[in-house]
Amino acid sequence: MKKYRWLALCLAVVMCFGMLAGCGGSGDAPAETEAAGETEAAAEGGDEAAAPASGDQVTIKFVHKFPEENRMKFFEEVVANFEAANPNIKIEMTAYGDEEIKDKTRVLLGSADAPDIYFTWSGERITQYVDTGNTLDISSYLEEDSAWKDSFNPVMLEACNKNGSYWCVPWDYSSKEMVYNKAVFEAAGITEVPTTWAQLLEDCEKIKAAGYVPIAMGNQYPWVVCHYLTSLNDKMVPKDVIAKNYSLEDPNFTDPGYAQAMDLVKELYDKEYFNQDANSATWEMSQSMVQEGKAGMIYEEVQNLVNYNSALGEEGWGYFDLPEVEGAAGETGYITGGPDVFMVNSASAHPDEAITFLKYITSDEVQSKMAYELGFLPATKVELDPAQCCPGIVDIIEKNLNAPGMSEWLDCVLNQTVSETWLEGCQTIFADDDGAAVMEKVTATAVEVKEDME
Amino acid sequence: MSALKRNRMAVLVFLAPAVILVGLLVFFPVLLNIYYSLFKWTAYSADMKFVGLKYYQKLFSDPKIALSIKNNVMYAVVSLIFQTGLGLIIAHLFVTFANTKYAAITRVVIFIPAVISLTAIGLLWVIAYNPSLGFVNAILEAAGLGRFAHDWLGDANTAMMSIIMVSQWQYIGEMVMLYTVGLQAVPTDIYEAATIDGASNWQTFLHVTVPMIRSTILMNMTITIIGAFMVFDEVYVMTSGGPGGATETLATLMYETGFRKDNMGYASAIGVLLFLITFAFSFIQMRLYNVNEMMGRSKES
Repeated sequence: MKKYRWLALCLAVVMCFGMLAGCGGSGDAPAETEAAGETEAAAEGGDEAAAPASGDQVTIKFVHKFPEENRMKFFEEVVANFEAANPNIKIEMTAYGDEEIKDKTRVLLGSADAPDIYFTWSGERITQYVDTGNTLDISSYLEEDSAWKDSFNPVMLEACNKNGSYWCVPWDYSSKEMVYNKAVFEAAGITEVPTTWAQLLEDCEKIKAAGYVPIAMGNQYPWVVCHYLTSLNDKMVPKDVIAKNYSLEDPNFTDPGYAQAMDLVKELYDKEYFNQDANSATWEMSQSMVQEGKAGMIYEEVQNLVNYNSALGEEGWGYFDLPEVEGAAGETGYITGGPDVFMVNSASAHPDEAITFLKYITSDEVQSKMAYELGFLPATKVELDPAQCCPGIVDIIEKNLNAPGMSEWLDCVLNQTVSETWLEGCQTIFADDDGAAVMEKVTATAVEVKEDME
Repeated sequence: MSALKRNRMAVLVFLAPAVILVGLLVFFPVLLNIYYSLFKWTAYSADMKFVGLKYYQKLFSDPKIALSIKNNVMYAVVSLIFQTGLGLIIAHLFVTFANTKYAAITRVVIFIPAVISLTAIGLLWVIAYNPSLGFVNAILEAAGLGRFAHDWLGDANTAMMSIIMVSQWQYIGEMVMLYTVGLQAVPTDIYEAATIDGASNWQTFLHVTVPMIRSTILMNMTITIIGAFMVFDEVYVMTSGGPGGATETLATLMYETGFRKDNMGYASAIGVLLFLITFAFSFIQMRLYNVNEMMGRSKES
């Protein structure tokens, strides 16, 4: 009996120790701390103390947001080519979807499993990681290699400039075009693409009368309407007002142009020019509607044009700029969009290797491969062969280069809390709210956020 | 008992693992969460700014909190009616007519949704509710009820109830199984005595079945209510809290506040609120259970 009691006691003690070991940090934790210290030294001094010994293989954790089959295949090829040319660097790649990566990056950066290179969008999405010290200042790398710096489209590179330093590199960028199905236009008797908002409404009426959905709308995730507003705010509101509001220098979004922009979108829904299940339809569903000839138009990102070319054939589709609003107080001709960028984690143990990889994926070789195979717009000045590109891409790149500037995605350029309120309004305008009601909520949130900042 | 007193040291050692585990994994995180709710911070930064009780004041003025609680309460009420109420009736019918050849297969069929992943269920119903692709509107049209066809998840007025009904579909089978286990433990001689005394089926159900499985009913009610206040996955997969925040619950609001709006302090305060609500329901249930136990014992004595 006594023997069993001692055995039970020993087991209980073992359980306690096992539990405490489970609650403690992993055995890797001290190494992580050490690595972070090395990074700091390397970043500050630029010395070679942190560099791995020659022949040692280092692993770079790389997180991006292109998990789709063809895009993942592209990245796998790029990584394989890079690893073949750089046998001492192993790339550990993980991809998350569009929505998932917004949360995932935040969680990963706060964990011991933080990536060395991570994806983000531009605007406030860069600032949030810069302000919290999660991003390596890569200005010195760009200055040291001026050819690399000069290879970028300056508008895209400047999106990475905060407080006079560069914190990331652009990899590609996207802009918006109104894509249309030529068969639907023909069935509705439309022979020319609209250039004014009034003409757009007339054409929508014709398409609706012909039995089609005029404009496909998949607003389950409301960034879709938000993209319309990115463009329309520019057309409806003076640039100086926008600059002050977006930066929250003036948190009062009281310029009537903002509400009018929302009401223009609401009108498209109220007149049944959008499919009426807009708020529950996914973005992919809306794309299919145009590709299957059920809808006439869609406000689409240029990087997806290749899908319409595959589905409808070269002669089956076309594109035009979102029409101008007559008499509006804003500017015309701006690019609606923004770059996709990659940042190097300030806690990375291998910043030099991370930069080597970034140089490779922004090289002419990879940038042109990206344009030819994926239909993405390069973030560099690489010269493309039009014959290998999706129709329209080269013309759009040329047009964008001559644009007066870029209006970055509204949900990226704004403070995230203000952006979330606006995004909610992007759905409620299809119900009870109108532009003015939404903008009141946006202003209330912006004022609160600004007070909180102060 | 005297042996236990003599071996107090051994008792302490045997209790220690469980006490330490519960303390570290349950009470410590709760206390830590309260501590975190007093600071402004983000998930990816070590900087924390003390703000005191600011976020608790905000809980009372934030209209989103009120809307979320309303949605959670609606979830709880509907779940109580369908899962705890209807589930009991279905279980009673299963047990009463257990000899019929269809009872076992029906019990399996009704339980199947409970073992399917919530994400898969959510995606399935997103398509089912879709006005152009889904079967919900198609069935309504086929039944001559086309005027009720609707954009169920896209309309703020119907989205929440649409999600709630998916939960009822999924979990009623689980409740039926829990009730069935409870009902099968009721001695048959009590039913025989009731029958001899001339009780009708309804009277037997009300005065024999329900009191005999009162503890199971209380437990199921608690599980249902706590589940209703912690609901996250269904909402996140089906609407992400939309359209326009109409289907926000406390759990989704906490997630959005912490991971989308980068306000982990306020998210922690919402977490404390969620804890207090679920703790209150658990406490009430435990009190009721204990009182009934005591009443049962005093009657026996």
